[in-house]
Amino acid sequence: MLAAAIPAAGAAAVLGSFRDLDNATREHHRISMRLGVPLAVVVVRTDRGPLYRIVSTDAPDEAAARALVARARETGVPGAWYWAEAPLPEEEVAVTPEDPETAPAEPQAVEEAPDTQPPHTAPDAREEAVAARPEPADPPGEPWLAYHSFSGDISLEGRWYPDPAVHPGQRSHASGFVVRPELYLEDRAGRSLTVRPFFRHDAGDPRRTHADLHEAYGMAVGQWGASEWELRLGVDRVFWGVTESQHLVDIVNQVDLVEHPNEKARLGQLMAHVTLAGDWGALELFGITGHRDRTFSGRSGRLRLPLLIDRGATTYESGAEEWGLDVAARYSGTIGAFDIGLSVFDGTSREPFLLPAFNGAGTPILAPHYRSIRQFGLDAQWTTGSWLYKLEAIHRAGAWNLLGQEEDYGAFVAGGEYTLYGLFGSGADLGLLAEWNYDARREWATSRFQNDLFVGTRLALNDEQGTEFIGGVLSDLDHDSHFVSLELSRRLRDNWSLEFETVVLLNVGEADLLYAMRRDSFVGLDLVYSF
Amino acid sequence: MMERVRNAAIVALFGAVSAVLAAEDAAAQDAVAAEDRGLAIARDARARKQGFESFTASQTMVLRNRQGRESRRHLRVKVLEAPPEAEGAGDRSLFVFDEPRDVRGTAFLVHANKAGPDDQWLYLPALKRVKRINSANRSGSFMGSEFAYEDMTPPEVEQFDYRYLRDEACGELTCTVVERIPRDERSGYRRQIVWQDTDELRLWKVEYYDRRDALLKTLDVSGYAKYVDRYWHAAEMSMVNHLTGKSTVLTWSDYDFGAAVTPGEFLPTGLRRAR
Repeated sequence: MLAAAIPAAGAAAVLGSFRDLDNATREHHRISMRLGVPLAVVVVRTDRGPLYRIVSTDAPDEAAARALVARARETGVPGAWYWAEAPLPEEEVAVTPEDPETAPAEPQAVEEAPDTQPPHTAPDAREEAVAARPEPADPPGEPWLAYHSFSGDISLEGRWYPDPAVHPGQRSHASGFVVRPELYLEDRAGRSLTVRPFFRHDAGDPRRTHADLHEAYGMAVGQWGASEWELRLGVDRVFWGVTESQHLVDIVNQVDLVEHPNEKARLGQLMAHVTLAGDWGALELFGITGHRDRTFSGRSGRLRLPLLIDRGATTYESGAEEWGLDVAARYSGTIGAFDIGLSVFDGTSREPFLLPAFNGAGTPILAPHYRSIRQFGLDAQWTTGSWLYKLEAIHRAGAWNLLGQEEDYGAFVAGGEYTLYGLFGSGADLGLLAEWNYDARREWATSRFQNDLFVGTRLALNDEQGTEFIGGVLSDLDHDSHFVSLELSRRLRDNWSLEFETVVLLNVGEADLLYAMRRDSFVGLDLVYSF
Repeated sequence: MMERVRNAAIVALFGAVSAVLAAEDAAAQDAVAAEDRGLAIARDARARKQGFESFTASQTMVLRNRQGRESRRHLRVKVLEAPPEAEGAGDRSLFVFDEPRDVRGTAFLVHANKAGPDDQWLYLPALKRVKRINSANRSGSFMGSEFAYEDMTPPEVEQFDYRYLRDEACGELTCTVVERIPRDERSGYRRQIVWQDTDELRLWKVEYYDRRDALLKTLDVSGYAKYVDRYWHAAEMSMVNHLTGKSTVLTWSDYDFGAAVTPGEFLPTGLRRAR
């Protein structure tokens, strides 16, 4: 790559030193781009093995080398230094042009600090070098920390249930606050730690007052051939799928049902998660343990069954109970206008079967029981023109139906979304959605989406306040039940936003799973401060 | 006699027809020449920007409405240049939002295609969901600003047809003025008129005409500096919407050409860790 000869003697600027040739090659490329001067990588034999240095090839004298070092430091190469006399014979290393496909993963390229002088350097050259070296740029206490951030949001939330309660003890409000901070730390090698706890206080239902660790994981990223690997260890949340009315294939994380009856809020899950990704798509492998219990409303809460669900009475089909190993794998890829995801999950189901039982005091309760299942999932989207066509489908084996019998079944959500961009010459976008949810078990389905049609709309004004409106009707075609939901969100000022929501249950059929919640329509208002 | 008159008339007619044809031909040749010259300028301008491989930068947008009320956006941009051997694939751009705070962590990935619509993904951090989105939103507002999505990514030469208009003075420089017509029917523009100086082909001004061919917006670019001894890049881009009276000033900072980015950051799975 480099035609220029490296200096046999005389001054040279040293712009980086690496134990690893790949790192040196990469930095060579980057620094020569920045400085716009030819550079070479030379190898120096030291007692600790070879050392690869990036040196200037056209600094004829000390002054030129000094000038180059000064310029390098200005352009973000703090470790640059120079010597007045080349101390040693060195070999030039062939530097291959950087191939973007194999470019390394670490966003912070400098993995190693500039070297200390190798022991066999001429004494005067060493002095010169030491004199020319800069002070370390990092505070001495935390040299490993390259980047950190603290962010999150706090919200005041109120929810009112205007209709009188069906079950004794239920309150008509659920007000409180939510705190969701996030701490992110990243070291010089690009390894990171993310911690994201969650806490809700609810004055209406003590069971809805809950804390969860949504995320607490370490992550490392690297290159493997032309692909990239990513490893996450710890508690994390994972999302699979494409549809809006129901997240059918999404199975890794447990539903945090007290958060919202739409089953979309999830709890953190302990796992090891490896991703291998390239232009061919992504393959992900999961090892999961520490099964989480689904959350349920307490006695004073709305949106519950007549009997209370006692999470203390939880049982598992697996002998290892919640500490069994669940495994999952997923391939996702894009082929032109098509996005496709294929997944498999083998382990303890996230969906409990509720067994009638008695607690210690002899009161009838429902005890959650989690079966061991295997689920194959498919999610696909075709993105064409103004249309999105969406499909999610699963096949699940090992689960119980509503009669408590084991029954393998299939279920799907299929639909589309059409968007009218720049509605009536304004900047607003109007989306029209329709999705059909189907579960082959029909009347014995444990899911409320056994034969339900969702028709909805999404209006984004694309204004400075980011005003958005989402509304829809979910109609149960078997039970003639209708649920209307409306959501409106708008930013008030830079850090403040307002979210309004209402869910209206119309006409809940007696055979519907949600019959016990028929008078639990609600109106909610959240004031959110983000930082 | 009559014969001769008629022949003369026929000759005259032929002459007139061929003169008209010749004039049309010359006009057509001029048009072709103008198209070729416009395309050559676009190719030259593009070639001068190529070879950077990657760059990162920060963007601050100040949105101002007709009443003068301001709001601010802050985001970081990463661009990965298409490798020279890539056939139809264009550059890949990643935008990560810092402000407003309620959308912090939201990320937007674009894989430009030289022919046909771009591929776009959005990452929603609250659900940790990566969503493939429609590229038909090209003409839509980016973050409520006066910049449309299609104004935010580096244009590919193949996305337009060109017509050279004229050279004219622009400040102390001479500018070449070229009309470019988006090939994508989903573009919000019927045409754009672009001013670039003849020295370095830096972009100084763009007039955007809407689908009804009315002047919709004007972009003024300023504060050029040269990076890595090679690439000219602006510090400020000011977009004024003539229909609404709103404006957005986009300020660039922290340019880093040849920044250490990896191809994996520009994949849908890489979006999940975009910061």
